[in-house]
Amino acid sequence: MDEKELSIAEYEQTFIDDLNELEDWFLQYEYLLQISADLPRIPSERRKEENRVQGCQSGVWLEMAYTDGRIRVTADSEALIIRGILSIAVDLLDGRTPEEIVSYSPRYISETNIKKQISTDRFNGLSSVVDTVKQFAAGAIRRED
Amino acid sequence: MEIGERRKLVARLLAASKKEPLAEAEVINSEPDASFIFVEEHLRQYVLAKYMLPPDCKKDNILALARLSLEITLQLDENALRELDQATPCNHAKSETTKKVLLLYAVQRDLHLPENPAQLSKVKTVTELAQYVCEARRGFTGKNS
Repeated sequence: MDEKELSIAEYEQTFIDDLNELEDWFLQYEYLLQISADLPRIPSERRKEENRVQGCQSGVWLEMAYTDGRIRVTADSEALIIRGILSIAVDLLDGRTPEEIVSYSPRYISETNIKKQISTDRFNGLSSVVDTVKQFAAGAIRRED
Repeated sequence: MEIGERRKLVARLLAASKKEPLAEAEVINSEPDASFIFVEEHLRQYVLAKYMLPPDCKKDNILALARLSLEITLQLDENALRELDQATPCNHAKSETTKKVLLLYAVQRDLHLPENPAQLSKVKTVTELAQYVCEARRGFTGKNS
C-alpha cells in the first residue's frame, strides 16, 4: 500500500489502529520509541529560536519548506518520546499539499492513549506543532492566490 | 516507517509482550510459596523479556537494563543515547526512567501485587524487585519470612 495514496486522515487511522491495538502504554511507549528511530535529527546548528516551537517544554524544532506544490516538514526534540510522537506528525504531513494540510484535524493524540499519558504542557506543545504547520500551509496557499 | 513495517512491529511487540513475560509471571503466580531464588530467577526472565533483551543478560540495575533496551531499540550506543534523550524540565522523566516505572507497574499488575508505590519506588535492581515481590506476597498470605 502506498501511504501517499491515502488521505492524511486515512493514513493517520493506521497509526491510531496500531496504538490502540497495543492497548498497554508499556507497548505503546516502545512503539513510539521504535518509530522515532526513523525521524532524522535536526543538527544543533539548525536549532534556532525562530524554528523552535513555542509552548513545548522539551525543546522542539520544526523546519518547513514549500517546494513544487508540496509542504516539506521535519521536526526534532530533546526528548525521545516526543520524537516518537513527532515522527507521526512528520509522517502524516511531510510531502502533502497545503490544501490537504489546512483541512486536516489531528486525532492521533486525542483518540489514543497518548493523550492520557502525556502532560497537558506536552499535549499543548504537540498541538502547536501541527498548528504551526497548518499556518505555514495556509500561508503557502495565500501566496499562490 | 512504512505501514507494512509498522504492522510487523505491532505484531512483534504483542508477541514479545504477551508470550514470554506472561509465561514467567504465570510460573511465579502458580507458586505462592516460592523461594526467593525461584522468584528472582523467573522475575529476571520476565524483566528481560519485557525489555526484549537476551535471556543471558547479566545486568541487575533496572535503569541500566532500560537504557540497554533503548540502545538496542534505537541502535545507539550509551553516549549517543545520552545526547539524544536530554529530556526535559524536572516534571518530565527521561525515557529510561519512564521505562523503569512502566516495568514496575507491569510487575505489580502481572503478579497481582497490592499497590505500594512508596516501597516500589525504592527498588533499583532486579534482585531488590524480587525481594519486594516476595515481601508483597507474604503480605498477601500473612506468612512470616
